[in-house]
Amino acid sequence: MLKKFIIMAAVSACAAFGNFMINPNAPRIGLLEDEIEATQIQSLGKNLLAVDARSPAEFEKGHVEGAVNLSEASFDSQLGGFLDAWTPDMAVLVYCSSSGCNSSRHIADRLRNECGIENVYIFKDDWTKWKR
Amino acid sequence: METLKTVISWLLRIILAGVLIYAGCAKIARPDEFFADISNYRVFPVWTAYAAAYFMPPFEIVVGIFLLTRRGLDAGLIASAAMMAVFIILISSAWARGLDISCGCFGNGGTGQYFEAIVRDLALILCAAAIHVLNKPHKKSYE
Repeated sequence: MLKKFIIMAAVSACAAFGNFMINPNAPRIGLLEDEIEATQIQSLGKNLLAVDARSPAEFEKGHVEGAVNLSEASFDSQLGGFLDAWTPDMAVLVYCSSSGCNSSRHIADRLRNECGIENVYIFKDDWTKWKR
Repeated sequence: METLKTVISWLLRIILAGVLIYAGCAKIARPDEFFADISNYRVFPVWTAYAAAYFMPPFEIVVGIFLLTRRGLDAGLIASAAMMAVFIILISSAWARGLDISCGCFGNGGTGQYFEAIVRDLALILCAAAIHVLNKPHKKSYE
C-alpha cells in the first residue's frame, strides 16, 4: 500500500515540476501595481472615492463611510450614482468583502474599460480595515 | 447480484474519478488562480500554498486514474477520502471565520458556496466508502 502512495506522490510531483517549468501562469506573490492595502490608503491622497463592489444587500448592512455601491449584478443601474459622486480629479478605490474576493477586480476593470477612468485601484484587505 | 454490485461499483468509481480528474484538469493550467484561492484561506504559509498550487491538480488527476485501476483502487480510495476530509475542514474553517472566498474546488468559481461544497465532499466520501464495501473480498463459509 505504501508503495502505491509513493508512486502516486512521485507521479504527481513530476507532473507538478513539469507544470512549474512550462506553465506561464506562475503564481504571483505580493500585490499588483493597482492593488492597495489598508496601510497604503493615504498614499492615494484625500480626493478619494470609495466604491463598494458588494451586493446592495451587503452594502446596506454596512460600508465604508462615503462609499458608493457599484455591484457586478447592478452595474448598469448603479453607474449613474457612481458618476454623480465621481469627479475626474478623484482616485477610485474599489473594495469587496475581503482580500480574496474578485468582484472589486471586475468592477475596477469595467470602470477602466467601459468608462475610461484610469485612476482606479483595488483594495486588497478586509473592508473593515479601511482607515482614511 | 454480483453483476449488479460490479455495475454499481464501477458507476461510483467513474463518478468519483471523474470529479477528481475534472477538478484537477480545471486547475492545472492556472496555478496562479489556484494559488490565490489557497492563499485566501489564510491558513497556509506562502511556500505551502505555492507548492500546493502546483502539486494538488496533478495529484487529483493521478488519484482519479488510480481509482479506475484494479491494483490502485484501495490507495485511490484512501487518498480521495482523505483529500475530501481535508477540504471539508478547510471550507468549514473559512465558513466559520466568515471569509467570502472561492473554495477553489474547480478553478475559478463563485464565492461563499460553502454548504454546497461541504455536501459535495461528504457525498464523495460516502461514494468512496460505498466502493470499498462493494469491492470487499467475499468471506466464504466452508462449514
